[in-house]
Amino acid sequence: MIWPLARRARVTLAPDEARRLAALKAAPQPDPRTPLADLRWVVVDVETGGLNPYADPLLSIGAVEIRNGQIRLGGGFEAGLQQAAVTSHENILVHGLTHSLQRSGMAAGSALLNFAEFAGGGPFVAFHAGFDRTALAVAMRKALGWDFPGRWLDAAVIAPLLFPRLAGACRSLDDWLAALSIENYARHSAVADAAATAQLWLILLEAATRQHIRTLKEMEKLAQARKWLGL
Amino acid sequence: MTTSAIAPSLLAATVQDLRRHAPFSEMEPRHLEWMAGRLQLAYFPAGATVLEADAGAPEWFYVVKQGSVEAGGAAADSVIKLLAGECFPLGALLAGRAVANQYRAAVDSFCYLLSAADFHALLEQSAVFRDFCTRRIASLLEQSQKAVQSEYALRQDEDARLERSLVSLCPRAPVSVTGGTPLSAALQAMHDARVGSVAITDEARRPLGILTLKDVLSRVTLPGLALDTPIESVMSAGPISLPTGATAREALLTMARHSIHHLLLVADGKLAGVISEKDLFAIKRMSVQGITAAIAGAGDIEALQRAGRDIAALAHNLLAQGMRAETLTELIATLNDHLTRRLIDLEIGALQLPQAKWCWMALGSEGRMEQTLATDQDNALIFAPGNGDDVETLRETLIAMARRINQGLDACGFPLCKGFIMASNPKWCLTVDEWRAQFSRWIDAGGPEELLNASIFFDFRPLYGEAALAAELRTWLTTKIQGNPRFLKQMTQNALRNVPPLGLVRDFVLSEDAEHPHTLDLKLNGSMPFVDGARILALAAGQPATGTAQRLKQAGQALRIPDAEIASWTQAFHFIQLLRLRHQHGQERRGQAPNNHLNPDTLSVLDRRILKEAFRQARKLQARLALDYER
Repeated sequence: MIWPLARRARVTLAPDEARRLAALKAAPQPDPRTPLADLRWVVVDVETGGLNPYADPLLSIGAVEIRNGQIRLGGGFEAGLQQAAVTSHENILVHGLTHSLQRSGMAAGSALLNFAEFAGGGPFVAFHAGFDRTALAVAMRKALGWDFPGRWLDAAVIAPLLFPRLAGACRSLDDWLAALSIENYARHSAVADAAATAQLWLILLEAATRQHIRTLKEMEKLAQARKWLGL
Repeated sequence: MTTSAIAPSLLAATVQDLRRHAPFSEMEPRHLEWMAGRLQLAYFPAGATVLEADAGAPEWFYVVKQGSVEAGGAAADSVIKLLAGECFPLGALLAGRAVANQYRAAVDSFCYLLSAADFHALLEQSAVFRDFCTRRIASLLEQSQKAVQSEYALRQDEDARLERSLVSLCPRAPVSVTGGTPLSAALQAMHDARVGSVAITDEARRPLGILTLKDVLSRVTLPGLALDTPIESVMSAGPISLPTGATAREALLTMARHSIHHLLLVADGKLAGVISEKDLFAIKRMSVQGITAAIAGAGDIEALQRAGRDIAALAHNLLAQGMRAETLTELIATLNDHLTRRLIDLEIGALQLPQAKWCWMALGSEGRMEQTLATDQDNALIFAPGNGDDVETLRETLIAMARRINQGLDACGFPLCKGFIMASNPKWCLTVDEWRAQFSRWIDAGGPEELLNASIFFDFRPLYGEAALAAELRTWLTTKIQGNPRFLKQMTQNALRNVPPLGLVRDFVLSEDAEHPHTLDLKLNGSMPFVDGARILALAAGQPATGTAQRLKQAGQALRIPDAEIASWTQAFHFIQLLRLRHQHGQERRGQAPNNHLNPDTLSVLDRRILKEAFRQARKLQARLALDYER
């Protein structure tokens, strides 16, 4: 089918990549009625070449999974994406991705396939999830011609709802980490930020359970309630 | 779905975080990376249970990443706080046992988790990590012993109470008088203080004697002694005493050994207290004394048979309560000594014996006072014929006596020796000169059989009769061996043939013989290398002791072996003895005949590890022997 909004280029995939993509498209999505504790969460952080997720190139993807309430530190995902053009100097200072690193990454298509296979359909969690979701969606569409599906939850939205007392003082991930006394190491690699977000998410999951939020659906409802409340 | 994704920067960050703490700071990078690649991270809000007590063997090894986890029982004062970098539950994981304590997050905390399987794999890979765990071998050993107790569902604090120092058990200031005090005043003092004994000291409060109420009856009341008699003329002089720091356990042993009911406590040579059997019974309702008294009062073999059964029951009981191997084996030996002495008393009372000097000697494990629950008899006789005595006639009489004693011991639960190493064997009922000639032959020949005999007979200890005969033989033997480096060398070579069963690939080299397949012989491969080694060291150093631990201590001092080395050997030996006792205890409970063949798979991971370490110590001891005496 032809996507009406298609900004996507015509994509031709190598046969094995096409096969992998087909398998991914056929894979099941998580059931929203699944209890929170039984979900396999994929906590994501991406780095881009700028602040516009629609336009700026995706530089790297980091992700860790949470299963049975535990972050699998050893099983994290990390990939740098090969860049045609090197990003601006300012961003290198933020991400620490030097020019040579940017050039040496993995081809976008295979990096994204690897990520999708690692993710296994989510659900996905990120801090300011809209940004990560968009950056990934754009890159997926561009490199694979795929509208990347998945349920996303935004830790930046959920955190103030579960910890209203802290909401006023906390804006950034660092604020929340500090407010909830989460010690984290080696920030500003995508996967380390994902690990930091995952630690926040463990605390949020625990707080949600205490507030009788039991399933993925109920967690999503909580996030929507915020929009209606105009918070 | 691929799960082979690795995130090098996250791995590196985890490694870096772990490196802030021991033992991870010391571990090789590849081991640490291996570990980091298998870690999980979990969150525990304040108050959450991390690990439940008695919930089966732990699934995870925990390292506190941030926050703090409390481990503790019900009592609030026993809580241990674990902070960032600290690991738990080490003991339970190593032993494959349920944790004894509950672990709770004291504040909101994150912990790294490593699966139990990965923990054990890491233990195998990383020597640093392994050392970190085995460095605590002493405290782990303690836990292992505590587990023995809980295994038999007995109160854990009893052993601790036995370890209490006597001064803490002393309920009151001692009642004491000087030697010249008239009996009337001394008895009045006892009466006023409501105590059963009075200590007699000199002006400087150095103890001179003791008088108990029981003594008063036999020495004062019945003879009708005047009450103005000075107390020193009726007291028991040269009283048995212990330092105030001695433990209740030592006091029990001392009382059992001397058949007494009161002990004096001394500090700096001065009287510091009196402890009675009753004081000890108050902390320990067990009756070493009861059995000792029953033996002393036994009028026939049936009574001794009962006592023999009581000794076994008491030994099992004490083992289950977690008494240490060294104390228990010594206690068993002491009580068995009493029983044997009483049996000899009874047997010779029924015989007309010539007026010759003779001495009954205990050999082998009994000679070393290291008897386990499975013990057959090893004994011999030494005698000195008087002028005009016909040696052969005398020998025949003594053998007849010995035969009755051997059979009596058999009836009391000490099976006849399969190798006929018994006093009733004419070969082992010898005069002083014959023993010297025999020992000389063994020392000069030094063949395998002679060396085997030497290893049994050279541990002789006088048990009944003219102890001086055995003592003289000991002195003679010590001198004789000092002049025979060749014999020491042969003994060493023989001992070194018994290689500790440590495998290169697997933990242990196991016996595959049909009768006891897949087992370790804890006697032959376990305690024997230590026993043999200690014997050689003691003989080389000219030390008279027969007990293995005592030999190591004495010889160690004489030969300038570092204390730490001696301590490690002794500890290892005692651990193996404990395993033997536990194994035999278990067999008897299941109605099996006790032996020394243990399937190591039945041991906990912790015990296996300690046993392995004990074998390594045996190897070290052998290495020293090889260096010093093999050439």
